[in-house]
Amino acid sequence: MFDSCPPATGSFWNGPIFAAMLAGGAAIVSSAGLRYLELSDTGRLLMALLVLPPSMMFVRAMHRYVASLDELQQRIQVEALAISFSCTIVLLLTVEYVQKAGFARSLDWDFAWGAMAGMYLAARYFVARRYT
Amino acid sequence: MNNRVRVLRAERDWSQGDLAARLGVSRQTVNAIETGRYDPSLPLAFKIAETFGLPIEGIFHPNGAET
Repeated sequence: MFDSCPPATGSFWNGPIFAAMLAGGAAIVSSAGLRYLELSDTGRLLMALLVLPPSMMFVRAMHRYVASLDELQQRIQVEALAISFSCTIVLLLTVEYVQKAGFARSLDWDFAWGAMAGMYLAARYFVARRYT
Repeated sequence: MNNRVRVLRAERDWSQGDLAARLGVSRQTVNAIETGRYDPSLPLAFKIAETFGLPIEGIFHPNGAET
């Protein structure tokens, strides 16, 4: 599916960020709908899955963006993703065990993807600096 | 690995952006190659050599070799 896509323009802001903003908007609508609307079970399920289409757009946009980059930019992306992915796992494990010890309140899932996105942007900045 | 990319580019009066456009890479990549922070892949090295009309060994040298 991905390989048949035409090359992306290479813009991070027009592709993945735009799709991420759409997914964020859908998440807000979904959260509000689940909280304030009186829906049937099917309606609640559909409302909960509202975030899925723009999220798949994000995956596709991210893949097309990385595929459109040159070899050094791709290396920077791989290093940044490796760092942010592993750091997020370490962070989540740490938070989980601190919670088990009774020293932290329960965190929701928004914390996890927010932490991963933040770490990815920070890692990308610092990795790119090595080659500048 | 050492290389003569900066010298060869200057001889042709090309900016980093000009060379990047000819190679189909970003200006940051050209800068990283010139400063030795990044060693290009073999396909990109061949493309650089073709762009300058020189053999690869006329542009890239192992560390410590004469440049």
